[in-house]
Amino acid sequence: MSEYTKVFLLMGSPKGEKSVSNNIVSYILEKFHENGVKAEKIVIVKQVRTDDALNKLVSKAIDSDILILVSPLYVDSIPSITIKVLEEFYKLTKNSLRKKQKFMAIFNCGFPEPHHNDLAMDMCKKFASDSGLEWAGGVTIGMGPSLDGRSLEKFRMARNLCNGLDIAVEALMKGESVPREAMLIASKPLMPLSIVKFVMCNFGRFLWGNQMDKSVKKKMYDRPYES
Amino acid sequence: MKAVVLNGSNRDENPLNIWENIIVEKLENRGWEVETVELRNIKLSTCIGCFGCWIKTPGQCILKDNGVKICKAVARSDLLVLLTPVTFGGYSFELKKMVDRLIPNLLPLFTKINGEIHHKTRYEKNPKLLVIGYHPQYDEESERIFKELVHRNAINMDSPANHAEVVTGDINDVKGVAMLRKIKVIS
Repeated sequence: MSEYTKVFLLMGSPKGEKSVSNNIVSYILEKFHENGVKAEKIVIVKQVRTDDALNKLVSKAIDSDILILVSPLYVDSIPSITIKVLEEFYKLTKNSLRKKQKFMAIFNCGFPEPHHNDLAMDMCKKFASDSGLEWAGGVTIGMGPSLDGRSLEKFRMARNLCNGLDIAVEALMKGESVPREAMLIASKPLMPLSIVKFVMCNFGRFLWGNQMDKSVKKKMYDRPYES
Repeated sequence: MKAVVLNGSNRDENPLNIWENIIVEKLENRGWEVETVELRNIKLSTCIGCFGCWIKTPGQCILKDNGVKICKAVARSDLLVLLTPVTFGGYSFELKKMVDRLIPNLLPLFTKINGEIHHKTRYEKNPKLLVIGYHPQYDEESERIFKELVHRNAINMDSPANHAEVVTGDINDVKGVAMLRKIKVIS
């Protein structure tokens, strides 16, 4: 990869830097840096507050050679702030001649099954084809919140994800698309699905209750808008 | 019967605004009480992913803007109508910012639906879902993604019925208007 290759990572979580998506971005950034490639991260939620900031973000994204979006899944789809960036990107590039630019997307969701992210991935592929970008591949991750709080390599359960991302970065640095094998490895469920589903369905109240104050726990099922 | 119409159009001249009028007229003629919201014209923050609506003030968003009022109206409605330009197969930014803000109407707890994990709904009764997308030209892949998205949204919202339609072509396209008049989910 040429030292002039520009890699741009869009971190799409509305939660900002305290998010699983940011953990994933940090891991990928480090892999590029270890290989001497300059890669830059942009936290979308910080850059969509004004038109000026959004324009700067989109201009940088357009100028990159490799664009990687890392985002959580919001209501079966892409979070609104990230849709805004994609809409602006498309608007600014739809009638212009485009240089060769690769686009990869990584989605994580709170559900255990990675396939909940498939539609968001399809939308990213459509964005790539509509905007003249070369689709480089995608990774879908279930049980995202279990990767919160620590760097990715410290989670034993994330070893497949890390291995897949390593292969993906290596391929992108060679100017190739992400091999299917890497996407499959990285998208493997973090834990056996049957166990996770059993725990989520039967101990959900306990799992969420731990994050609530005692007084709020009693209101977990409240229906404030019931007519 | 109550209906909420959320218009996610991103500009003033858009076929969606005409279709909104047709849908409202059709509903009102049948005795529905209709509330419409032009999302691009109101103050509405984007969801910040804090889960405050589940773990701090259950059922209510902590962001105090129009999103709270709309969420309440949707919870009390029998029909939710979403209008949007089809954006890479999905909803526009204007519509998605409100759809993301509807999660207070779900519980944080989980259930299995067709073997998949989803959130439980907070309310016993949830609105039917009608989603109309506009795409200037026919695009098979956009339409496939869009219809699948509406289907999955309906699962998550526990909607008793849902219908998705992508309309293409000119603002006054007779076919589009005729199609809208036939949609059974309104009946």
